[in-house]
Amino acid sequence: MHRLFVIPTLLINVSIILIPALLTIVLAFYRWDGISDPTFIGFANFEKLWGDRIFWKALKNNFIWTAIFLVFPIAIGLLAASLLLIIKRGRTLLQVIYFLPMIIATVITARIWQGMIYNPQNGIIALLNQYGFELRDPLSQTSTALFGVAVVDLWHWWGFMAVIFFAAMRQVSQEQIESARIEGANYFQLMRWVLIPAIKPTIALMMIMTVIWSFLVFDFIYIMTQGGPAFSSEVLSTMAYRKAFYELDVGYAATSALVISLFGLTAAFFYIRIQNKEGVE
Amino acid sequence: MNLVESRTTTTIIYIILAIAAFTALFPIALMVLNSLKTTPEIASSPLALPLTPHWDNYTHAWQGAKFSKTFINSAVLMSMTIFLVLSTGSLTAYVLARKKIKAWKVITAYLLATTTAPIQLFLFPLYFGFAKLGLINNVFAVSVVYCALFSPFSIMLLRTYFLAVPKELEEAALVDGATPWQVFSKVYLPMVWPGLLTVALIVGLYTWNEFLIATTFLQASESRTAVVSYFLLSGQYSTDWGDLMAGAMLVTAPIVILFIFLQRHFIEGMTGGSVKG
Amino acid sequence: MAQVNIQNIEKFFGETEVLKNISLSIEDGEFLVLVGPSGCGKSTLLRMIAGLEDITVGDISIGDKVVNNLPPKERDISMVFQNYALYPHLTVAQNMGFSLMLARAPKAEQERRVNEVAVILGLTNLLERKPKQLSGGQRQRVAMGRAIVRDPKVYLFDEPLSNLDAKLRVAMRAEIKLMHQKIKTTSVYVTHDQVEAMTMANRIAVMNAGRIEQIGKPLEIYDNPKNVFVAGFIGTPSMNLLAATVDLSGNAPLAVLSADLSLPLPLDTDLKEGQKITYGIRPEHLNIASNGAPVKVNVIEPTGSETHLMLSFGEESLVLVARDRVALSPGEMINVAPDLSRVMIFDLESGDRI
Ligand SMILES: Nc1ncnc2c1ncn2[C@@H]1O[C@H](COP(=O)(O)OP(=O)(O)OP(=O)(O)O)[C@@H](O)[C@H]1O
Ligand SMILES: [Mg+2]
Repeated sequence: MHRLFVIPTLLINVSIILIPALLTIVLAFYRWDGISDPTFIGFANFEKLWGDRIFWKALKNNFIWTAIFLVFPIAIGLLAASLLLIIKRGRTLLQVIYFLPMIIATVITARIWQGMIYNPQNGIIALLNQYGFELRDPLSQTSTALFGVAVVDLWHWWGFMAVIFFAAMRQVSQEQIESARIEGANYFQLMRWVLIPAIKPTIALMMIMTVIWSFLVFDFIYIMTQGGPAFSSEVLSTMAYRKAFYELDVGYAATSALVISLFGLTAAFFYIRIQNKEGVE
Repeated sequence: MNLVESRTTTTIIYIILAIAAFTALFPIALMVLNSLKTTPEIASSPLALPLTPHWDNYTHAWQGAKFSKTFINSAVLMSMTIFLVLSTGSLTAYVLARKKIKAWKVITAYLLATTTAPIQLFLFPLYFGFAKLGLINNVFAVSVVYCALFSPFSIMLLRTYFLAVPKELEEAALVDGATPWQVFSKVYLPMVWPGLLTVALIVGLYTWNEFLIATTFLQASESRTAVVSYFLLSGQYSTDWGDLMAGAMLVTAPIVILFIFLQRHFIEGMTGGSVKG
Repeated sequence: MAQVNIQNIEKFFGETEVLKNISLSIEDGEFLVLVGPSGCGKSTLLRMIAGLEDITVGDISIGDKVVNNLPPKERDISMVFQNYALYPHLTVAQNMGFSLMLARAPKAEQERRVNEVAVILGLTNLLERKPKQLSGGQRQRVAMGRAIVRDPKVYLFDEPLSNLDAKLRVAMRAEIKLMHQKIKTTSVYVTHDQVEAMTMANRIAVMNAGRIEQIGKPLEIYDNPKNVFVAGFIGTPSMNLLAATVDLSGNAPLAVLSADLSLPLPLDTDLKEGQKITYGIRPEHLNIASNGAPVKVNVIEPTGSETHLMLSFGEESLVLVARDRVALSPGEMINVAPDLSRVMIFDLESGDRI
């Protein structure tokens, strides 16, 4: 009887995710334009990928992205969370404000930043230029495009980290914090010796998730730069998407997707270990 | 913490937190402000108040993005996805929480694994498969895709609510003569409704905001979602920023209003499961 | 109405054996109490009767039907849980009528039964409330009501009173007993409180570490415990149990407790010289007597109706319950003597009654 209960979920999940995922693995060994019959080409797609300059650029960008997101949102989140813990009034309001960017659609966020901040005709950049700065739209420069997008994603993301860390820190026993304060610990000592050790499991989980998400990043880059200019902000997922739907090289796209999955999978392995450990208890 | 802090410390802390709040709110404020201005007004200064509020930006955006059609599409898609996720997910969450079947561990691990799979891993065969079956531009088909995407975390979240129901209630119901289905529907479901509400909110939010699947699978102008139609609008008239900000306001307002009233549920739901004790 | 037969039941949770070869038959209309220390397996046994745990080895039958493989709903039983297990989203009336609703009984019939039982339990005014709006005692009553409404063959109770305060517990105890005398349905009642067991049971089964140590009428068990465990478990304050050596060298047989303290043994026992025994005497069967053994008074606890004296000799301690008020002060030496006809002797090693 209870077996029937899980059938709808599994049916949907298997047919939408598992079977197409397996097909992707198969497709990686074919040349296919999505319409005519696929041709088996062995490892040719992989060899092409190995020699593809854009692939290496995209991979490098994914690593830069991961590094940025492992450092900034987590650091800012920890800082904001610990300060929220100290204050007595306004916690809920501040949490709601910090969380707000998280619930706005990616497309909207991207357009606000493109039009109101980065835009050299009518954005904040234009305003600053009136006061003698010499700023240009970061999205239009190959040297800054990736960082320009990262700043937007960061804006949308850090509050989420702050709220999660705050929730975790609130579970640290009050006595522990108070006794540390009474023993004379200052803010940094409190962080170093009490708060961070106490919420280490949460931080570890967030770091693993950050790695996974960083290899999946798609929306902001696709919407704001399409990976440009000159592939300077290309990441693996935008590259795969472009190959499949613009260049109709589906087999090659599948190969790139496999590579993305490989990186995600390593992190996912740790993620499932952490999550499952808790489930068994 | 109830320790007395010195006034300066408190002041510094509040200043830092206020800067953070300002950072979060500033772009949003720009959207609100400039949604009422003409393009020349914006160009002269994005920070200035509008001379007279240009409400017609909103009508332009509404018509330009065909929101009267696409809002309904988004709402239909949202309702169907919420219904699918809640009906299939609550059943599975119950079975996994109460370890009703031997395979609960395998299924849990499988579902966790799918949450970490990149969409690109299954997107391409799925798209061409759907194309073959004539399911492109089919809102129901997309809600099934969303259900597959959003079910795993929904199930993990619901699971904690099911775990909070005392086991004795199930046992009492069994003794009272309930069938497994009645135990689920008459005892558990009424008790986990805060969890169902939370999941409904989060899934609704994600569905409303989702871009990649929506833009890939719902291309025809009759089946587009609000977010995608906004994306296309902003591609076309990329110079009329007043209209664009008004459109952004329209897409965002329903979500933000809901969020402000039900923020506890949103925050609980979106952070749930991430805090490890 | 039915009898319950439990034959050679064993229960394993994984590798651990929780119940070891339990056999027990509960008569039709009987009120049987399972009593034992925490973790001895009482709840497990009860839940196996209910069908909430499966049976590793053995048979359970209700009436003349073996129920091993029947789900709870087909066993025609009711169960009252320790924390009541009331459905928080349903009103008192809906809680009580839940089983009838599931069985699709006609609305009028449901209402009639619920009202009937509500009158018996004095719940009529509370029918529209939710469990949250009730006191502990009222919740307990609703849980009882839910069980009664079904009119089952067997009632199962798992420590139903342990969440109530002392006074309410005594009152509910009497009420349940009264109810049973009225409706006379076979009942199995689990508790770790031996006073509850003594006062409510037709028969008591004393359990320890997965076994039944003794089954019998309350006073039978009190007067004739089969072994040290039962002797020590039943009765408050519990029986004095002292390690001793038999000394038959004098005129009267003695139990030597320590170098400076001996207590008399009954004359008609066939004990051997030097045998190691456990000497058992209930506190109420120990008297202050000028010709008795010398002990020191440590603590005096007057309860009003009687006085408990905590006594000691050397390292060992003794408890004495005196019916009369005593004029003593801590530190004083007194002499005590047992009521010889009430002395119980157990083998030191096996713990069995000799
Ligand atoms: N589901 C289970 N899995 C493993 N061991 C269990 C399980 N349920 C009970 N046990 C073990 O079985 C033994 C008996 O448990 P049981 O609940 O029957 O004790 P009890 O006599 O009712 O105790 P109490 O008076 O504390 O309720 C205990 O040692 C307990 O740890
Ligand atoms: Mg128990």
